[in-house]
Amino acid sequence: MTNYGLVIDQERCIGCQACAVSCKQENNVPMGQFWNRVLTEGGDKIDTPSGGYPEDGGSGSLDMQYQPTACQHCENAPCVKVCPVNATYTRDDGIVEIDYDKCIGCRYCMAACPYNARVFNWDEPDHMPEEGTGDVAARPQGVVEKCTFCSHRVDEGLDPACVVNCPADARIFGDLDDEGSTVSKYINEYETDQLLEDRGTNPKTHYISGEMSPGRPQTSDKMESELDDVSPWSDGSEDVPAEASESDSSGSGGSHHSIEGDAAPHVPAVGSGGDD
Amino acid sequence: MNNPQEPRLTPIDEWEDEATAMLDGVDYDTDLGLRMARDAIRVSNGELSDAEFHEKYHEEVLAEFGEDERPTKPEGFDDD
Amino acid sequence: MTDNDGLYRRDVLKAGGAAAALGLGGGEFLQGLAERGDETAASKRDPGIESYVGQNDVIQTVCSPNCRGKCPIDVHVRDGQVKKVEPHPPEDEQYKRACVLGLSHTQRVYDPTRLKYPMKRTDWSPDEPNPDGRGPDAEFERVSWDEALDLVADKMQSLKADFGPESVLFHVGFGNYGQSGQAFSRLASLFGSTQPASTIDTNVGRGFNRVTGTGFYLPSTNESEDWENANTIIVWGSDIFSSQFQMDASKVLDAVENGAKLVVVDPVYTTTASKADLWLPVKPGKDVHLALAMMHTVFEDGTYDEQFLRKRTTGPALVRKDTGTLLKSSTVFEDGSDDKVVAVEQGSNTPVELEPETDGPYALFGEYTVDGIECETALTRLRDHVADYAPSKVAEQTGVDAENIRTAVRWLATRGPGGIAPSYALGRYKHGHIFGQTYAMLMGLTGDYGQHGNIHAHHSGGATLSTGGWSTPEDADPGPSVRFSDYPDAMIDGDPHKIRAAYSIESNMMGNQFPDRQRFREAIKSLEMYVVADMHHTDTVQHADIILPVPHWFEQEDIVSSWGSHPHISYRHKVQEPMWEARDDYYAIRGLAERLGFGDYFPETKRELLRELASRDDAIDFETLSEQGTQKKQNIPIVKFTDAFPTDTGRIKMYDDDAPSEEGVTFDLPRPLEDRTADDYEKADEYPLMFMQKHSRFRIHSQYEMLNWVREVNPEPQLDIHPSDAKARGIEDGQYVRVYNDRGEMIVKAKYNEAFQPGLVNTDQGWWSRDYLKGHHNDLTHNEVSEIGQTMSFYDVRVAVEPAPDDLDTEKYETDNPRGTGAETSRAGGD
Repeated sequence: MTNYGLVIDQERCIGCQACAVSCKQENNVPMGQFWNRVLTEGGDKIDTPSGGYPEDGGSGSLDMQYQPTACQHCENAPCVKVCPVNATYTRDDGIVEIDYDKCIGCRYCMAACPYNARVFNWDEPDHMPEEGTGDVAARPQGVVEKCTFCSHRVDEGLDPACVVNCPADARIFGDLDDEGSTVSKYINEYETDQLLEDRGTNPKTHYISGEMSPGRPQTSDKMESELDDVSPWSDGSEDVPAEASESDSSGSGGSHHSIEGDAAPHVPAVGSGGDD
Repeated sequence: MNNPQEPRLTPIDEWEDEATAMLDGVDYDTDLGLRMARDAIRVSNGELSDAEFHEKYHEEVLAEFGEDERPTKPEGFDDD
Repeated sequence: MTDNDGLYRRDVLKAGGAAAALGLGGGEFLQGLAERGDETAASKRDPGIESYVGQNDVIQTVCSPNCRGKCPIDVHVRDGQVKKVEPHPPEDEQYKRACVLGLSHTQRVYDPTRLKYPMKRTDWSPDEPNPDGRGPDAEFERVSWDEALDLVADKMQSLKADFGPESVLFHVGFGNYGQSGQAFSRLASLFGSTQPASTIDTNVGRGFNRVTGTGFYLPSTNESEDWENANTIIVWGSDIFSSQFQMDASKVLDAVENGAKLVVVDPVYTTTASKADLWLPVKPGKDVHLALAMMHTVFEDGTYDEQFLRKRTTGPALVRKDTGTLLKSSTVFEDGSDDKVVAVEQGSNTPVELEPETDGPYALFGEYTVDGIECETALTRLRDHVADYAPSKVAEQTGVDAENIRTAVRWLATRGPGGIAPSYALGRYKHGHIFGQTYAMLMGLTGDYGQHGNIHAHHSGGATLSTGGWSTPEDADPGPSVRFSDYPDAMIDGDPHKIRAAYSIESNMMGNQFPDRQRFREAIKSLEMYVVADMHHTDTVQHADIILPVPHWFEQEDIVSSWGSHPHISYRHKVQEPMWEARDDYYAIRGLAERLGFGDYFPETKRELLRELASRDDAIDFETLSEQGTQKKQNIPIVKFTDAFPTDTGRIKMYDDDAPSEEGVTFDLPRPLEDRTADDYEKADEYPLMFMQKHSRFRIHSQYEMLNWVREVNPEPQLDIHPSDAKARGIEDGQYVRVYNDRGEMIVKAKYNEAFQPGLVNTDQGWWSRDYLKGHHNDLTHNEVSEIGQTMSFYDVRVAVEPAPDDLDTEKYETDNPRGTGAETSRAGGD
């Protein structure tokens, strides 16, 4: 079975908002609503740190990290359980979706979602430009909407818009049930968290924090599984573990990265072989 | 509701206030929505089974919505 | 359940209703998959979701502002409208890129601020300019293109006849990296008008140039594809993950993932600092002290690169103790040259001429007597000079812990090739050129030139279309240049000569972006004619007499250079025809050229112009470029500084015996000199806070200000202020404050931000007048430039802050208008 999931490497995320805005564009999300927000783990406002400015010239206690947050596509999705009309449902591939035709706007799902990932069209949705954007039709007034993992793209073999548009290669989409997929490998190799793990919702969005992953360069908008030429990040070889452990050991004198004279440098990652 | 300038998720112990605000003005029973939300998380946690959850709210959901199409319905459950 | 539908569901879109009618249930999406290939069925795979995937026309083009992106993009068009933007991998796919702004062109194309028709200020005429009619209350009337161009050409001709062609200024900014600027300069050269000389962001580069022979803006550096080979990256005064490098963020992150150490030197805890292994919270203006302390550590540790110093620098060159000049080869050897300098061989003390790129057993340190002349090596002078700057000694002054200073430079000196990525911000302090000199020399000590993994600037080199002097025809007699910073003197006082009219393209500088904005407003008021071509109704446009509407980039065919970005040239294919009566700048330029008698110098169409310009660049083939959309310039070296340096000696100057002086300080060696950051600055008590205007991820200078999506995240100008500074002034978080100095004021919302050093406040740059409740950030900045650095010092500014007056009208940003003025319609729509 296919079971789609997302890995977000917070060590790589630079809070640039490209995922947030490209989500709005692709999904024709009305003004005033966000399906995908870039939260800040830090101070009381976005783009501010926690802690205090150092007074002694040291590096001090300031800390800040970004946490892009959208529908977590929970395995045990409380929103699905409470929907009296079965408008919110889980697809066979694990994507939690809303049948907007069925939605009666009771918002019970919003109350049940601990991630505040859902928005409600109180008023006639306002789009700029007026005629709307992106590749899906607008939703009417009176329904709840949210991230679909860009199911309309996924169904065509394309990665979600937020993944394609990430300049930090920090977002990786794929099949959690495929052990060879990059998402599965990264969840195995790196320390990952799910949001509000104690809720038991078992989100399919996993966050890497602590040690940076190599990310997943996007030189095509196709999903990994659609690429003929298997990418270096999903070939099942030892590349990921090896690199991960190597950077562990690079201490202060780590001269093993230095390049002497004309020796061949570390070769930058090549394209993924996408054929667009 | 989800202001992009809010830096973080609502802390879980404040979530019910947020949920109450969300349900404010809804055409349906807000108290029912809150209770179901609370118990839906217990279902996720495994503290409550799907069947128990379904049965617990079936009558109220039916009364409020005229239908109960929740996927938690146990096999052989009598809808009426 | 079908029976209940009508009872509970709100109205749905017709399309949604159709999907519902198909009766597809939640579990039946596989049915849709089975019917893949049938577009209609595929789009109804999920109930309630109508997909348009595969239905768009996709046009490959390129985004073109003055940023370090130049991102090749795909524009999706459906039903005659732009629906979305996605990055398009260029020829070299690893440079696939885009940012939140480029992705939002869908909103920019249709923004109400776009100019639609040529306009004339209602109360302006060539003979009665009514200068007082300019400004916020100016009104405009629609004119035809012919009328507009006739008015402009006639006025130019009469000014030329009466006062000479230099009385007209052709001002071009950096707002578009296409080729219209080439045509603009060509016409300026032919007409003989005054032409602009940039005084923005040239400070650090000029200092670097004194040492290495290269650099004007920041020096070139290894292309970003090589950055992952760096072992240490010291980002100095730059938030590269927010500005300049965010499109290439993955390349820096890859370096870090490979084990590189990332050091950030910045008074602000930026996004980049939050990713760093080490953050040095330097005080504003103390960067040279800090860099000298790093040199001190390199000398103390003995970690300087001896081979590099001998082979590629003048470190071993002898300096005469009597004159302070370098000992010339001609002084020592009969056939010696005046350009060459002399070293001695270690041990034998034999004098030898230093050739470029030549290693030898030269003595790096010591005192030697050659032909009776007492000398010491340049490196000895430098070492003795920095002896006063021990980390422990500068720690308090710079605000940086001494051990952290040592750690940072030890990483750079000992971990293998790396580099320093300084920013334009350092050059926005008046004497920023000194930092350019200092870090160029510091990397001379550590030997960080010419290898994989070296970095010298916070953006890469990129590719520029070489047009071989087309903009200055051989038979032209170009007029003089006037520096940006001297415009007001020229316009108001006639110094160095009177400018009476200006024609401006690709620039919102005069009305928004130049410092000391009120002074530039006065300058505009002294003109008889001010012609402004732009895409949007900017502040500058509002001060114009003649407005020429320029189409969105998606409506102009062009060839886009990627200077500072990536090594491709890109073809900007038209996505759609210009809307309304907007016309490419080239239409106006050629139209004016015809009227001014230079029509023959300009190809008839833009396409012909592009063919002509592309044919001048051997590395570019027009057909290939047009067809592929991008072409990688194969002659762009990935690694820079591999050959002899373009200095007299072919070597990096570790001592400058021909150095300029400023305010009594000579820069033979890097010597700190500060303006308003100086500890004893006279008005420091009156205006106690330093004021910078950081470049954010939400605008490129003043472009993209109107994007509604972005403004939901970043709705209004704010003052970043440390809570201690705010509380000391009785200012609460989120309260509106008045920021002022002896030039002007602005009113913005205070934002408590622990990331900002106490004593330093910030408002991100690029906001327009309409975004402020009062004033503007450039009403506070000043227009004084260092004669050496020749760069506007936007950050070398002091202000005071107090709570805003109680009677303030804050309606603009109240909750029912969360996007602020960005959601308003423009004033001069024309229809």
